[in-house]
Amino acid sequence: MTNKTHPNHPSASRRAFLRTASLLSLAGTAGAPFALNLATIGAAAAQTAPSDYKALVCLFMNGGNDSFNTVLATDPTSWAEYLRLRGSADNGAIALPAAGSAGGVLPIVPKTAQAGRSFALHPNLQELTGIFGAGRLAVVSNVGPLVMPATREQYLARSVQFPQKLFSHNDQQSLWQSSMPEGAKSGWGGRMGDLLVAANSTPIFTAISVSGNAVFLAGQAINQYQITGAGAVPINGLSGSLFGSSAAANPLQAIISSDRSNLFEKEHAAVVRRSIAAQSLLATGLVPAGAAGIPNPTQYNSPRRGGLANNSLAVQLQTVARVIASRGALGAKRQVFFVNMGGFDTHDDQNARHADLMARLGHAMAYFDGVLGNLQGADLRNQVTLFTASDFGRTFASNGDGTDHGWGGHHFVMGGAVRGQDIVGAFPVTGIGHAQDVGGGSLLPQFSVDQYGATLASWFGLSATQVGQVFPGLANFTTKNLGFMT
Amino acid sequence: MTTRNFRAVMAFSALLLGACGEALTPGAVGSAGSGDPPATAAAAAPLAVAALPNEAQASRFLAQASFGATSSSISKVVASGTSVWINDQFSLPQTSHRDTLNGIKAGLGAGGALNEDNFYESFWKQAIEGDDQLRQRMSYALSQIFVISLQESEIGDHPVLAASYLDMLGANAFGNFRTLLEAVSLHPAMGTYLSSLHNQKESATRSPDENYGREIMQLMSIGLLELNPDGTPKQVNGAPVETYTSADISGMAKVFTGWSWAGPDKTASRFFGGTADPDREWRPMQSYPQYHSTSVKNFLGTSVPAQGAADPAASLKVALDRLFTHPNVGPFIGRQLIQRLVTSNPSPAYVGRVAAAFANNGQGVRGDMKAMIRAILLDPEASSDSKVAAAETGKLREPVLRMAAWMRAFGARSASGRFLIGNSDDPLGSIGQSPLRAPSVFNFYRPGYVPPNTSIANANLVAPEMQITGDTSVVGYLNTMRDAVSQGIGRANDIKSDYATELGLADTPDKLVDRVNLLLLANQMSPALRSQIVTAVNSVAVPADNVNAAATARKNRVWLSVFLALASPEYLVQK
Repeated sequence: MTNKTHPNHPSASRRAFLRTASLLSLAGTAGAPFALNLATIGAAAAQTAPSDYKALVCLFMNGGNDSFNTVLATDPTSWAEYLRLRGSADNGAIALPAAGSAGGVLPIVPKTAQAGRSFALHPNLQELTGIFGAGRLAVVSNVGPLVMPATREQYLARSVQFPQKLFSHNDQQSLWQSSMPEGAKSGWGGRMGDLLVAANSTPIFTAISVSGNAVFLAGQAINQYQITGAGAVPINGLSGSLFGSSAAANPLQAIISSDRSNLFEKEHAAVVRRSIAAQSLLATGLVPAGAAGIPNPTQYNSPRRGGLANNSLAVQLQTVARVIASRGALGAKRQVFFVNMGGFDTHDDQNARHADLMARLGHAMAYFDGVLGNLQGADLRNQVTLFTASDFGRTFASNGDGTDHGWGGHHFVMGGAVRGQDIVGAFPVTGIGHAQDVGGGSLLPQFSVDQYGATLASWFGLSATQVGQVFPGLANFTTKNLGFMT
Repeated sequence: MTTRNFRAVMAFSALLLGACGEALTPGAVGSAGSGDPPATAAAAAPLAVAALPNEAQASRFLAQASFGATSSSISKVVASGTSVWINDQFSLPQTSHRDTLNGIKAGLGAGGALNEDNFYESFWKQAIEGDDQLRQRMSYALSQIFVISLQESEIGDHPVLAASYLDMLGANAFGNFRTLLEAVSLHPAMGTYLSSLHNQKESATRSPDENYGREIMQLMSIGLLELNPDGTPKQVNGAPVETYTSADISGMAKVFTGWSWAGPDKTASRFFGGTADPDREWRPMQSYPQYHSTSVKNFLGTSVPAQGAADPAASLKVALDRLFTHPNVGPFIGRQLIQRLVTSNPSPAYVGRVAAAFANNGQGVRGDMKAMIRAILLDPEASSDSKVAAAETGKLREPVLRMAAWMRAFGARSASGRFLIGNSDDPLGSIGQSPLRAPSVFNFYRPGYVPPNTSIANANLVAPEMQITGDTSVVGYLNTMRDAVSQGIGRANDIKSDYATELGLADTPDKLVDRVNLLLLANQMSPALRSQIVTAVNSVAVPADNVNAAATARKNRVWLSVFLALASPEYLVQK
């Protein structure tokens, strides 16, 4: 659907109705598992259109983060097993130094104690320990794609249904973002946008990616908008004279944006039309980067390069902050963002690579937290929640200088509305051979991505019914809300 | 093709040359000004596939088989026919990227180090100037299946790795797939990228690295699902069947233990990279038996027995033979090569014909790349005029191919001779894609990518290149090409076209646009687009009384016609 035929636009109501009818007729078939009841979207959303502003930011750690070296159990039993499997020359010594030693892991004390356990973060997440202590950061333990609750025995026997194509990068990225393997046509960020878009006077700025194309932000009615730190750059020569042509005879805009019959040409032209429309809105509305707008991030201390380096993730989050700061001009009340950081597939040279990734992650998240604390004079922390996601966790077992593809992993949720300074859920036993080990210490998730997302969606303002529409798989779980949001 | 068949085609071609000589006459194609189909198309039609192509058909073929049509390559294809052109291309010698980089390095003097940009320079130089266009295009297509990336700093900082990797793909592009698969598996760039380099056997607290063992199956040979010979997924009890399990990956991972840098010895220091041989960035990895798993290796229903003495080469042979003989390879690789060269949504029958050529080249040989290439490029689904108008036909041209086609069509030359063009990743400041610099082993885009909320999705079609097409990249492409067309591109605009031929047509806008149409769009411009461009060109007045102003106006006319064609969705979708 193009923005021209948005279902909330009065003149499009009949077309929207027809489209709804056809979508509903597909509901329940394999091809359309997420057929939202579009006929109800406009009406329901109009009745409950929020007046406040909220944003959700998905920070995707591309490649599969080694969460075993991100959030660690440091009690003696856990640490001994950690050192046995990760701390010897035989396995490449991919263990981090102990708490209290030089460059050691950084202790954190969650509000909810876990018997016999103590915890720490990666040594390069210093800034995050501060945000954790201030109550704006929580750890959600062992999350991953699940069809239904399951035990290790059920996994080994495949006696209940499990997600398809486990351990495969592209498919698990898609499962995290959309609840389906590669080929999914919508993601849960986009589906939330479908339900909340009526709150926004410019629908195009509902689901915004600062890192290319993400299925997470694809809706069934809305399209994601892609932006970069360069902001709104116009197409040169779109009007007026082009290479000495008369202005009247400049056909550039007509050529690039007119509707076409070939489907590939048609959809390319549709992207161009959206781009032109968005650019004209952003040209005047977008808060600039730098001293006059959203301050630029500092460089981060890169252990791999041995000095200060630019942090592209922080720059992506700066762009998010600029759009949030422009919410008034853009008429936005609900926005979903996607930022992305690559390099997490640490099969190899993990010590150096992961140390650098953690330094960038901590630096960028702390920058964002700081910017939101004073966003052009306003504290937006209570209205903006950032959460992490990744292809999968990794194996606990080392392959000699890295780790392999796993399943469940630990994740961060950051914001003023987060019940912070806590670890949500039972922290898994450290090592291999335990009740959640599905091979090499890969974790069978205790929480599904659906539960994780549904908790965020409830905070975002979706009703229980709407949450169920966005996450159909949630019906298989008793706990619909993990409770980490106020 | 057998020698006998080859001679038969040659003889037939000679006959046709006599019969349809008018097809070679310049100006006969496009019936200038009318926008009608070329007059020769109708004459050639009854001769069907075996007929010599007209200029438009040759241009279309060259968009599939090369980095873009030129006047001279169109003439060659029109003269010889596509089949003979392909055979001629098979026999052209290869130019070494590694030699090019070594040459650049020699010019840097003592202490000078190559950087990532030197790779791109060599890539573009060969893509634009190389005579072996089919090898160039195939190497590039293969680089999107057997993916390494200069984004990985261990490769970006050692561009000879990437250069020799692309040389390896080129050297095997016309060989056998089994040889290609082994060359990929043992190339140090792949070893570096997917961490099979210095991968060690298992121990009490260590498992082999599974990275390459997994991706060689998922991405480079058989894929995730059992396929029918036509590329459609097999269904058992209404559900697709996965080709392998985690256990198969564990078995395969053990095969790729005990391989590392080449060198004159097999010391631990050399294995782990401490002792570096000067040639290690291009010599195939060598085996280090002391690090190779000797335990039984089970995968895909076959097995490498436990080894008394570690034998990495024997393990490798069993694994690669097993993958090579898997019935998925033909349809899995064939479909992707069709997508890279011809169309995003080949019919199952087309995939089936290509897979059949892979399975047997006609002489009982499996995996003959030449047979597969011929099957892809000579298929009626690639060449038939009747396909062009269908709404679901075509593929979005990726940015590198758009840029290359412009350079080649208008004879762009590098002032330095080196094609000083660097990383072109920036979707706003550049074209949003650099060769061999994908974000991950999953390439720039996925073969199954479905753009959400589109007529393409509604038609159950895929559009891989749409995955890197967005609100920013469409702006970046247009602005980059607008500057490139008029000012050139690269460091200090190193690469530019002088449009010598086009300037000669600037006073006759119909002819100017016809030429652009043939070179860039294979005469596929709709009458509406052609008319829009001709009208725009006509609006630039060429003054009769001022030589300098007239020269400027003629340049503007050429730039306008070329840029508007490059900007048009009709060009952006290769049909």
